Amino acid sequence: MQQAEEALISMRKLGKVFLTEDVETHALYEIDMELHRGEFLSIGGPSGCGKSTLLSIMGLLDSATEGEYILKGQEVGELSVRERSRLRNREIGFIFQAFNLIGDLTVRENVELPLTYRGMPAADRSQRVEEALEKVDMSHRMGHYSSQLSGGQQQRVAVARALAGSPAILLADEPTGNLDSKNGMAVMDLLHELHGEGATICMVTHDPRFASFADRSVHLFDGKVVSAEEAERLAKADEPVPAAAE
Amino acid sequence: MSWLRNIVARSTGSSDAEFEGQLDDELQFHVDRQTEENIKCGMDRATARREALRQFGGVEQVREGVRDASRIVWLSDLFRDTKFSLRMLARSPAFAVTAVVVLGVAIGLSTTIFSFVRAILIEPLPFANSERLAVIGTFNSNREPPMTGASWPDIVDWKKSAKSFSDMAAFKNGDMDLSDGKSTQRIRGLFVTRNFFELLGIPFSLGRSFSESEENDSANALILNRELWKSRYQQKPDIVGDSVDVYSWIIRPEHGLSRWQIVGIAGQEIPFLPVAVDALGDRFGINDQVQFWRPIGLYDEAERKERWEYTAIARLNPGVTIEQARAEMVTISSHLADEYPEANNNWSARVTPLNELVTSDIRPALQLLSGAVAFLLLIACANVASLLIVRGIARQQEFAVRIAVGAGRWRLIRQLITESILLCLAGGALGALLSVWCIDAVRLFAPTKVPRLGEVSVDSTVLMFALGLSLMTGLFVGILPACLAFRTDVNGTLKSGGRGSSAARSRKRWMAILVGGEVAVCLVLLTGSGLLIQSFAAIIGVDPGFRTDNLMTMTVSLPQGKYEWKHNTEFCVELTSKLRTVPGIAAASAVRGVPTRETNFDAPVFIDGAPEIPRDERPDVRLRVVEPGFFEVMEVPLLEGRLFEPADSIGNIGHAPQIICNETMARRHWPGESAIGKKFCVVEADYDKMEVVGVVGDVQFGALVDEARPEIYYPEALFPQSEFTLLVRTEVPPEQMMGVVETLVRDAEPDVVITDTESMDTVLSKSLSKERFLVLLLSAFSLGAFLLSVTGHYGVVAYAVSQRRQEIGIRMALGATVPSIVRMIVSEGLLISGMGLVVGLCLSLALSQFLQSQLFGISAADPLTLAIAAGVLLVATSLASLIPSIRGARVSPASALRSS
Ligand SMILES: Nc1ncnc2c1ncn2[C@@H]1O[C@H](COP(=O)(O)OP(=O)(O)OP(=O)(O)O)[C@@H](O)[C@H]1O
Ligand SMILES: [Mg+2]
Repeated sequence: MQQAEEALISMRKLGKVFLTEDVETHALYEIDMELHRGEFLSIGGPSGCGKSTLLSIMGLLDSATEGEYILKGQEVGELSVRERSRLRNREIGFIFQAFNLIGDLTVRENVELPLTYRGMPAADRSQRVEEALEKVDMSHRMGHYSSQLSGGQQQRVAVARALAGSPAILLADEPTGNLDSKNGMAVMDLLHELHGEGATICMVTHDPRFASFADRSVHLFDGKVVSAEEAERLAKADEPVPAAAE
Repeated sequence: MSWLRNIVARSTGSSDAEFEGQLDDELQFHVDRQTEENIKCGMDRATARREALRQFGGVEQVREGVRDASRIVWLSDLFRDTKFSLRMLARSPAFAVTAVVVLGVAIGLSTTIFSFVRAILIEPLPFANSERLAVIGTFNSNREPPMTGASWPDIVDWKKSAKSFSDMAAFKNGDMDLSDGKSTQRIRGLFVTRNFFELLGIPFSLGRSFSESEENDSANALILNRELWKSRYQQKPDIVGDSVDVYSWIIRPEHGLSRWQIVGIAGQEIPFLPVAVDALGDRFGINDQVQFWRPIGLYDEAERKERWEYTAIARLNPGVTIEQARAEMVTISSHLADEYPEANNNWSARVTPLNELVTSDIRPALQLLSGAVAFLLLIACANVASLLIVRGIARQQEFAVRIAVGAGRWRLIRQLITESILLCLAGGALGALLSVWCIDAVRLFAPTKVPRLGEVSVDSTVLMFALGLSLMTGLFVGILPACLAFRTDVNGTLKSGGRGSSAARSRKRWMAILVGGEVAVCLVLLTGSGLLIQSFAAIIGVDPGFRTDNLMTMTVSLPQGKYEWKHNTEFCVELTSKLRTVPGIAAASAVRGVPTRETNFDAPVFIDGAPEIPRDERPDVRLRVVEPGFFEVMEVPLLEGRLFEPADSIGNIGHAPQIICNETMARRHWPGESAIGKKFCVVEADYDKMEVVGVVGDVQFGALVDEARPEIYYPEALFPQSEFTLLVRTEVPPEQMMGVVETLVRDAEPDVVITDTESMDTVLSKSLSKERFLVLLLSAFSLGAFLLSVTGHYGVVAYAVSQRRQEIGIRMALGATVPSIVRMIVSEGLLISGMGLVVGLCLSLALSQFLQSQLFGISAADPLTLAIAAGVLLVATSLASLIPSIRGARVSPASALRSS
């Protein structure tokens, strides 16, 4: 692990409270975490423990209600909406469980989208798109509508889309969740390969087989980071155990 | 309704229980298959089954929905469809109420306009076979105005030669004053030939038509209508043979009361018919009853060239078309022209179906309104159709399951159409109720000259129309959403909730077409009303040639023939000078004919020293008799020369040596030189010469939209009138002086008949009633259309945004900014309205010819109006897409992605 270098992402006492109809949900609580360049981190934990929320905050889709979040040395909380959009566009690539391609756009247009928002000239865009699709082995389907693809193919296109803008970090929220094991494995191989080429990846998964691809795993439970052993113990317990001592 | 259920079950050979069993099996099968599939995707068995059940939206619910789908018996299907539709509609009351209100207003307005069209344009006139009746006047394209009445000798010749008609009669309008020695009653009626009653099929309650010997002025025979018989003579059963005293203006030396013998009581009330030559304004309106008939009074000396008096009416022979009759009359006219070149050269008979003539004034307006209301209905339909499409999307799960468990697609379409027909029937019922109220409201604005306005009502025919229209609308509105629902991608819907499928794309496309179409049609209506408003403003802006405020009119009519001519003048002079002394009155004068309403008489003019012109091409001038103070009271500017002086009134009655002409007359006949001192005569070349002593500004005696015509003014003293219109310039609002003036007039002559007591502003306003009617109604329709299309646009964009929540979330995750999302959505909305506007522009131009005849001072293809209307729509639709797009872009990307 490369501790020497300054962390790409660093979170301190980060918390997230959702307020819906006067009900407070503490989705995240005092998260301290760092992610370094070139690292492959996996985040695990039971359903509802806050994995997706954490990833959304990391990807600037949502903001923390407490604590600080520093991305590439920049305190994100102070940024304007527009700056956040810009940062998201340049530094972050998303891969979702539900693929989240836009059905009415072709494969090419989907992959092109982040580059378009960046204001990149058309010629550069098309070169990047082709490269990215080449990498996921989907260039032969460039003109298809994404709704015409199989799930595995869609997820590969989604990976290409995340790659196309050469972001600093790839954030993947259960990228294999909607895929059968064969296709899931193919996507994991792809992520593994990207990591080998130096990509920084943060992936949410609760499948231990896939978690093993990562350099390091973080376990969440009820919005808190817990150790691997504790996570195992908690997972085995029939009844959900109340959150650790207040 | 369990009895029906049982009957149905027996007739289809399966009991309810059996059916339920089949249904469960079928559902079970689908759920099992989905479970297997889920397991293949890596779920454990329990989760897979739970998921499968969820994807089918709950077995119980599906069973509920599907139960209806398998029956064959039509009646019970209909019953079931209706019941189920009602339940579905009750479940989304907001949608149901919106749709019913939109449809109700549109159907209500359509029904309203239909009831006017039917009563006014479609219902026949109250004569036997009225569609075979035609009115005949004459036409000469070299003359201005080109159309006029018929001369007696011509009518005689026409009747003799024409084979197209079974009979031909002649008539003219007129009035008489009934006297009982104490007071007089003015009655209005017709001077007719004796075959008039037989020709029109008017029966007699008592007595008979005129005999041959009575068909002569001196016979003094009279036929009354039932109403007069009732009100004045208490329905006296033996009234035939009685004599009544009458003041009647007739050409003969003696005057005073004359005795007339009642020979019959007509068995049917008839309205005044349109006459070929109408100089008397709207006093003999289609909504007024004819109170008496008297012989037309044929004079041996009636001249062929005198065409201002009579109108011919004829009945077409069976099998003869109006075109054939026209052709024959043209031939006869040319023979007459050969025979009497002096009087008849270039004159041709003009044959018009009576029905057409009666409605000629209002027909274009009603047609225009019918078109407009049809457009409005179309917009409402498109609006509701797109609501139904959106609703169909929300119900896709239901449709897909129905199809999956074997509901025929036709069955599904029928179910949906039942729903839309129910909506439209509810809308129709609301519409019928609304139309009762709307008819009264519209009637309030309707021009008074419209025939049978009082007969417009909601009766069984109108109700049938509303019902038929509702059913048609239901079908029309329902068919597209139903077909789109039918296209539901069963597989895709069950798996994914139906996003991004080709069915969704075609739905989106159709909604865009509907909304674009609404914008197109709306543009046509907006342009139309914009043009009419400008045209109306232009008419209002026309200078009538005099000051209209604080001016009062009152038409005063002395009993006809009661006094010597000379007395009429004295009466007029005394009255006006007495009025001038009344406090509150600044000035008073008199004129023949209410300004802006009555055109009076035209006669050919013979200018001294002008080159010889054939008689039939001779220009007309309009003749008008005024009390000398007329120009001062009206504030008509004197342009040259002088006004009337007392000396002008001295001389022989009927001979005015010195006259005043208007500007148009001076310009036309003496261009580039002074008209003062110029000499001419009217009617015949050898009549007394007159000299122009003054030129005044043009006054609009006809409608404001009429072009100014040459006009000459005579001093009243030389042309005494038994009827004249008082013009009183007041220092207070004219309404306050009406009572005082009337008392004064009645004091001066107890037998006087007073009509038209109005302020000049009212007269003007009434003269614009048709234009105002059209402007108001069309503007109301366009406003409705505008609101519907803008809300429709809003609805579609809002719907699209809601469908694209996830897409917006994805885009934002990829770095899209809020403005870029807003821009994207608004520009898509603009694309739809832009295409609608292009189509609407073409449509407006294509339809402009239908509007042109109703416009004054503006072209129906006026580019500025088109541009403004299009601009307004563009801005409104942009705003309509801006609101949902901002709301859509505000959504937090994290939650947008979560909810997917
Ligand atoms: N927008 C929101 N409003 C309210 N509560 C929320 C919101 N988003 C998440 N939560 C709550 O926060 C908690 C964490 O949710 P999150 O989606 O992060 O869980 P997760 O670990 O990703 O679960 P899973 O494995 O099922 O995806 C949950 O209790 C959830 O109900
Ligand atoms: Mg999650």
